[in-house]
Amino acid sequence: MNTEYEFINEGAALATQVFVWNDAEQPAVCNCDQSAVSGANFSYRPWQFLNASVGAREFFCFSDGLALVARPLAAGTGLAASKLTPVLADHHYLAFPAAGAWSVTDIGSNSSEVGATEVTAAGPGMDPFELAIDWYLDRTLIGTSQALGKNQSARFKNSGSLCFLAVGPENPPSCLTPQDLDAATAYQAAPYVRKVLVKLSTRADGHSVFSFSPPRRTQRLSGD
Amino acid sequence: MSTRFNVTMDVEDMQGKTVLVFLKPQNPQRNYMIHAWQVLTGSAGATESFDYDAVISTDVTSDGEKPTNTIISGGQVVVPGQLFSATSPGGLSPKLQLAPTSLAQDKLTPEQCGVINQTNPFTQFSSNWYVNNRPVVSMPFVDANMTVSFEYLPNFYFMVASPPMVGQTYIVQNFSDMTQYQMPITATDVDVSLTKDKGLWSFNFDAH
Repeated sequence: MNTEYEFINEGAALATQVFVWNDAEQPAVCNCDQSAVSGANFSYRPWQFLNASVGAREFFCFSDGLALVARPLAAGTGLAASKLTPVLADHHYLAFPAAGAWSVTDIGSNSSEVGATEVTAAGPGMDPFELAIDWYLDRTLIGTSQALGKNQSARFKNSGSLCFLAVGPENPPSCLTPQDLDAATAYQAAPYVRKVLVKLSTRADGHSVFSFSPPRRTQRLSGD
Repeated sequence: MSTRFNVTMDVEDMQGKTVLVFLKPQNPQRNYMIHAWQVLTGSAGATESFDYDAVISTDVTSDGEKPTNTIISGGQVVVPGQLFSATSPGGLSPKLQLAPTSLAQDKLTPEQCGVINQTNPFTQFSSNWYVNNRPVVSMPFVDANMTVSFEYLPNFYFMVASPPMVGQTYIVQNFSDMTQYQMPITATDVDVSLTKDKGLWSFNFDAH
């Protein structure tokens, strides 16, 4: 299902980064016993960089299509990254080494969390190794689950929550932690909504503000 | 001064077609994308009206960071002889602002409106022109320091055709299939009658 977004810059000399929120209960890497792995983390990349000037409108489309790439975290493993692999919600995938590269295969339904896509790193028979999972929407990198060890899993759940963050127009795409997104404005369209209007304006005190129509707005993201 | 057109579809069946009205830019280029300026509903036996007011406005369309994103700049009302400069303030998308009169006089005739691409870093865009806030023509691929100009006469081109799909445009050659009507400058109302005889659609005009 697609939702069309119309973004209007009503008066801010700023660009806007849009992030796709990972609504999985434990977006960080976790062991099969669901305990968090020390040092493991999830980082966000902007899915959209909206640079409409003041008075301009920019149009983009949000879909629920997700894909991933499994890649070695460090160089010198002798294994190449997997191909970009489309994945489905509620499915469980296995990342394993095959013929000099990582491969990803669907191993059935994911019972650990409704709506989430789960990927588990298989043991390659060589220790130690660490795997990163890059998550993509519309062929754009939106986040990375880092440092998956053998038999460890990562999850991504796309519930349609987007985080809007006003930034300087010259800012390069940044890599943010979930905590960094506390400064962003979150919005989740109702499932039946097909068109959303987003306005960026500047208050009298100089702060930038996002407003939405329809006005359903998530003040706090789950997992915060 | 506004002029009202009243179009009567004096036929028994429009056969799924409707009346389209176009305005023709002067000296059109081959790659211009012409929009149906008015698209009537096309109900047989009905009379539909639209207004003409000689108000020209313009904006530009460019790609976003992602080529799948489209950005439309804020619009500007233009009077003949004015030139607007498209700049990219702070790396944002093109924005239109009035260019110095000296530059306008250098680039345009007094009858022309224009837009010059002065974006830095360079952003290619399409220049869109409107009359009464309805699209007339889009001029694609405006390169760095290139000026595009818009000028039209109040000549209206009527055509019976299938309703256009969203975003559908036409080419300059299509004007040869249309009925041209040159409106008297004093007209405040124009009654247009559409008839069909032996498969031939005909428009008749009565200005007062």
